[in-house]
Amino acid sequence: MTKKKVWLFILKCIIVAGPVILVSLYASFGMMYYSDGEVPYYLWNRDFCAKTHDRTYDVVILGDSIGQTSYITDELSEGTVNLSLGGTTPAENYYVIKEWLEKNKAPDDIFITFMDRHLLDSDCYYTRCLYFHRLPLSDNLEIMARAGEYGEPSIGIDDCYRELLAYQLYWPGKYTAAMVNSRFTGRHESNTMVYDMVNKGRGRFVYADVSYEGDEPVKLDSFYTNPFFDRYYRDIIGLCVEHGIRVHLVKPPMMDLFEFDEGYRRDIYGYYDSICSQYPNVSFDWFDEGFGSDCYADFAHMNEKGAKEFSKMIKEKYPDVFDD
Amino acid sequence: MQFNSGGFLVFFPVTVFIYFLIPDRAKKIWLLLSSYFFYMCWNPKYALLLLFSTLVTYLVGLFIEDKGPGKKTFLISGILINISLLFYFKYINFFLDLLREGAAGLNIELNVPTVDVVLPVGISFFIFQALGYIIDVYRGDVKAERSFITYALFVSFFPQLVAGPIERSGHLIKQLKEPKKFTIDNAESGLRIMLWGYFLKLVIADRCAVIVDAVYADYSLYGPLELILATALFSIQIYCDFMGYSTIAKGAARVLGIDLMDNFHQPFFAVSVKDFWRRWHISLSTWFRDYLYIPLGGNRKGKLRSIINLLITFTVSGLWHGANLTFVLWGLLNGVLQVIEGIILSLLKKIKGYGNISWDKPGLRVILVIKNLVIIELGFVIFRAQTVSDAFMIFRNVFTMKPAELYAERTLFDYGLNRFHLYMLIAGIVVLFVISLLREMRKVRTDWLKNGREAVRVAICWVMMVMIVFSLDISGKEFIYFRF
Repeated sequence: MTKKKVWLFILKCIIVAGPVILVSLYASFGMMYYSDGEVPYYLWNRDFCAKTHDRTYDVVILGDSIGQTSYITDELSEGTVNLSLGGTTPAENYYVIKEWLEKNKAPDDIFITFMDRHLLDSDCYYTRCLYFHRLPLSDNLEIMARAGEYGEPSIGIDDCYRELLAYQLYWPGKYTAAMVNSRFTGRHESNTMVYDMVNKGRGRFVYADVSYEGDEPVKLDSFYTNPFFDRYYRDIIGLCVEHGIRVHLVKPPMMDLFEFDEGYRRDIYGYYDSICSQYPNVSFDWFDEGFGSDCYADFAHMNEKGAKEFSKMIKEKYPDVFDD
Repeated sequence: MQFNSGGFLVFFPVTVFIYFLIPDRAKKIWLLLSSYFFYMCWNPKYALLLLFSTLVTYLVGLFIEDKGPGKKTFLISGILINISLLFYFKYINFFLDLLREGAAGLNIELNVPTVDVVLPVGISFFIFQALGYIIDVYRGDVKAERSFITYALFVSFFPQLVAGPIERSGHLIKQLKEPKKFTIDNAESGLRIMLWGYFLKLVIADRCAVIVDAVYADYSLYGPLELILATALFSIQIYCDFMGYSTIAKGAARVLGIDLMDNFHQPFFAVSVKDFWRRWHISLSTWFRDYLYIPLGGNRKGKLRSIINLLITFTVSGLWHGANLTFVLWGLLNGVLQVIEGIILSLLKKIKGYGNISWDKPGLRVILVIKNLVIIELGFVIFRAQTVSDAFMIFRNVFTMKPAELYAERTLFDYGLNRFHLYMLIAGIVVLFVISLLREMRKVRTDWLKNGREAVRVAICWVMMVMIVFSLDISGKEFIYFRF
């Protein structure tokens, strides 16, 4: 076996493995070119939180897509930034705010808004948070370890570490579908536009500015949380309290098609009151008067009209917070 | 651990690397440990079953060789113990169901509970391989293996442990005995073979599965053309799935310097059912030939007996595939078809001028191949259906036209594959057809990627890799033969 033969063999292996390497590299560096329309705000959020900003943001909004769509930063104040991430739970948000506080001066106020289900399970941790590489490996490992500890099933899946590795390495199987669907570069223009829009709106993202047309009522009779997400939720609040931040837990208006009974109301107040009594400087507000369906883009997310209305309500409710 | 899992991508290079790095005396132990680890990735406790079967057949082999007159007793004991394991883990609930149904037919209510048992992966494969060994020792075809490590490795050798090929002791044990040295030729050829196996599985089989699963999941919604298309695709799926596995196994073993037997030989170019079984799952069909059909008397005891032997062999072969009447019926059908073929052939031979017909003429051969494909496809409907009545309903739907208004308007893209994946599937099938045709015409070698100039070979591998990479998002399906 000559040295030349060995090197030739290695070269051939590298050439044949080339497509895997190339696709992984493209998956890593070309996300804005092929990923779907949610990539811009994830990347914006990652870029924005990683930087130490010259100016101070005195209000930060955290949460999931409800937090992201309901608050219009421009309507609230110049010093408001929306770090909410669609599809996330308190778990991901804990690391987002932790990173922000490590790099930037703590804000005076934080508004936290999640839809009920994100305190119960995670539907997008793998397909968004890991997919878009929002959090570093160490944070993801901690989330998974904790999910395992709590027996949380939506994040602590059987193959969670294998999945994590696949996303960390930009395994082609995770990204080729988006590449093919975008014809490899077909989404760059729209993603760049959205990125700029999110940047201009300091984190605000609009899913679609249309009006919801459904009319099927939905009954809500109970609310409960999963201990794993509850723990992270309380960790966020604990972290904020540690930094002397006032925390406002906000439940925005739901569409008036939602009908909730006393049981639901009791569960909601029972849960949030327990948090408020555990920490100082934490308040809970539920805007329980629903908006009409013309204020929503879909079943859960406000459109521009709804968000404007809600932002106005928030501003009126907290005049000392948004005083510019 | 599956060959198409991320775990295998780590396991295989690590196993190979350490195997060639460690001293010769430790190589077998390392391979044995790796093989058990590979098996335990599914269910660690079933490694005990593998170990038990290995231990029993190892001891039986030694006893048979050492005890002259009592060796038959040991052979029968060894066979019974292993068949009992297979029966319990694979067929017990099937048997109880049959018993309950039989009793219900006689108006007797049997309250026998279902046994809570999980089918151990690959049990049919490693037990058959071990049984083949003790029969070979009994017949004196091979000497009993004295080294337990070597023998345990023979039963559990990871490339072929869970889905074959079912190797013969005479072929594999002697290869496993000798520690192998790393050679570039073996590594290169093995990796090329593995690449072809992955191509078959990921580019073709997993894409076919999307359409087949969609149609077979609710066959009553589909018309004759769709059912025929799904069945044709199923035959391609199962072929590429199983041949893909066997090919990856062969390639992985080759990297380690070990040659496994070929399991397929262009089965869809067969001109008769008999010919098909000479080309399909060769390691199993030859196993049944050597260890069941011939011991039953083969064709040495008259025509009627040979027909019965053939039917028994194929029915058992069907049952081997799974605890379901569909498999039994499929096996029996293949036996019956061969009996009919034999009768037709003997009648044809009586016609004057039959001997002058040149069956190798391309035109005639194409007709025979198409005729055979149609027959084989009928069998695959039974193989794929969940129950026998489902299979007959599918046949009925194929042969009865429903009123036009009952058909949903669909295009080929409505079965779960988008345009890109459909084109990839078509490209994959074309490649498979061309390669199979060239191999059938003996224009290329079995290891067809060894043909041609170096640069062309690397380029072909590169293109195949591109196609594999763009198949990864829809793949991840379990190999079908794992269930058996």
